[in-house]
Order: sequence, then C-alpha cells, then structure tokens
Amino acid sequence: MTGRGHQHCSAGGRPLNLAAASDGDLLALMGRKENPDLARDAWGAFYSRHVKFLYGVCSWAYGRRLGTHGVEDLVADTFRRAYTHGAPTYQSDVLESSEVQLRRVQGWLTRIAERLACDILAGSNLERTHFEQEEWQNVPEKADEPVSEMTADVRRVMQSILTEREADVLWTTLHWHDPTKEHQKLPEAVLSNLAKRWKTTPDNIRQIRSRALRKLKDALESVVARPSEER
Amino acid sequence: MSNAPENNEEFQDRDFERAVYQAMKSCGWLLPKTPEELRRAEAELVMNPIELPESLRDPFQILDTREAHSRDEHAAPSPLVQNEGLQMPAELRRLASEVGLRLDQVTALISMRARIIANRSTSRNEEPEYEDWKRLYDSVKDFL
Repeated sequence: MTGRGHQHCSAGGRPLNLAAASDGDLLALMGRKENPDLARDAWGAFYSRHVKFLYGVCSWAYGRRLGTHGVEDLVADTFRRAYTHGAPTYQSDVLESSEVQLRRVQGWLTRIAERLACDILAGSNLERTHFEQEEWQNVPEKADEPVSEMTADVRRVMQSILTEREADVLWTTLHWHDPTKEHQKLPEAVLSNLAKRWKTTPDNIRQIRSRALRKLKDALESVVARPSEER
Repeated sequence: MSNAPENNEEFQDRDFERAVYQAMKSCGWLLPKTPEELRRAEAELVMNPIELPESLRDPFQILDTREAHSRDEHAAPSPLVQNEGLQMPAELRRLASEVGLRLDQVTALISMRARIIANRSTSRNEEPEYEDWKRLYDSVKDFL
C-alpha cells in the first residue's frame, strides 16, 4: 500500500513489518519526524488500517449534512490532523489488549472527526481547531448498555414521524450534546446557522426542537401501549 | 420491553433526550464513541460495507495534498505584494510552490529579475518562463 519501496529496520537491524505493527507503534513512528520516510510509511499503514471504518461512520453521520465530498474532506482532514498533531503525543499502553487499543484508536479518530465536523457546521476555521489530545484519547471505559427495546422504539418512531426540518434540528442540537455533562448550550453560531438554513429565527428553532421532542414522546407512548408484536 | 410502559409517564425531559440521543447513535446519525458503540459500528460495516471513494484510496496523496497546500499558502503573494504593485507571474508561483519560497524570497527574485531586464536591450524583455525563474533561483538561492 505504501508503494514507496523503503526498507525500514529496527534498532537490531531486523526489517520492520509495518503492516503487523500495533497502532501504538505506528503512531510512535509517525511522530518521529526526524525520519520522514519511516514516519510516512507508518502513516500509510495506519491510514490503510482505519480509513474504511472512519469513512463508513462519517458517511452515516454526516453524509446528509456535508455531502459526499464534504465527508471525504472530513475524513482526509481527520487523518492529516492525526499525523501532524496527534501522533507525536499519542499515549499508547502496551499492557492493554489489542481489542482495547483498537477501540481507543477508533474512538480517538472519531473524536477528532466529530470536533472537525462541529467546526465545519459552525462555520469555523478548521486551521484553528484546537487539538485536545488528552480529552479525545480518553475513550469512555464503561461500555454502553446494549441497544434496548426502548432505543429501538425511539429509533423507529423517530425515523417515521419527524419531518426533515425537525430531524435536522434535533440532530444538530444533539450533535453538541454530551449525556455525561450538564448545562450544555448550543453555540450561538450553530443556532444561527440552523435558523438561517430553515429561514426562521433562533427562538423558533428552540420551539421546533421542543415540539419535535413532544411529538416523539407522544408517538412513543402510543407505540409502547401496543403489544410488542404489533409495533 | 424492559420497564415501559409502566414507567413511561415518569420520563423526565432529560431522560427522554438521552433516549433520543441513544437512538440517533444506534442508527449511525451520531458518531460512535464508547467501545461497545465502536464494536457495533464496525460489525455493521462488515455486514454492509461502504466502498471507499477514489479520493481516499492513496494515503500519500492525502498527505502530499496537505503539504503542497501548506507550501502554496506559504508562498502565495500577500496583500503586501499587491499593495506594492508587484504581481507574481504564474511561472514564478509554480517555482515558489515547488521549492517552498517565502514571500521575501519571491520579492527578492522579482527585484533581481527586474534589475537584469533593466540592464538588457528591449528586444529581450519578454515574460520569463519557468526555466528562467528556476535558473535565476538556482544561481542566487544561497543569498536569498
């Protein structure tokens, strides 16, 4: 995949097999800018390993808002950011299992992508996006509960009764929502972009959001009142 | 269903928002974050693979695009150039982009070229090609 034909060796003189190296090792090598060929080839191996995953989840989450080319740019920018800002300071733990390491790296990449997407949607300058290594690398240890029947019901109702405008307003506001934090406020720039997109006022956006939630709640109550086989 | 509909009426707004948030995550509208969500998303992608677009297939192209972009930004004429009435010829812009010239280096090259032209007959006063800029740059780069 690298296609550069470099043969890299370990300190002991053995050839390095980048395709088999751990993510932590690849990131450490990517951070060694004094050996640019090795850093680039490590980047190639790291990128090839994770790009399909990141592109897939970003397409689901942002395809409708950013469009195909927007998602491609977002993914490319995320990896570039990981190379230029993240790799030199990424803290890997060799004692963690490969599964834990994999999820940590995936979670780290999705955090970078999410932050960049937030800035794109808020109309900010991506070059100024601050890289919050410590926070982004801290993937929550606690696994979520499996998708409950309640979540599945909300999902079904949400996909069937919300208008495009309601879905967009809810999605945008929840995109900034972190369930572990309280007193969260949608950035003013985002609120005003949203109002502009739907040719309305920020106050009206708040009302659309409340009505959408009420509509979902009412629909859900009628759904859960039915026997499961009829849903 | 777990504890609905009995407890459904007791839903607080925040709990309900959380349920909507989880629902959005479970259908991929929001990015996965926790190990379990990441595992689920990966499994979903195995079941329903998404083809990688051409533009994302070559990692080095992605990196080189960025590096070239940075060089372009670095070498691009600043408002200062325009204010002083100087214009960067396309061929010089290409050289600046390739070798990563700074604004002051570009200005110095333009100035040197102007002095050379002033000392020549008018018959040789044509627009310099890329090779001309490159030759000039190679001969003076140690002094830039």
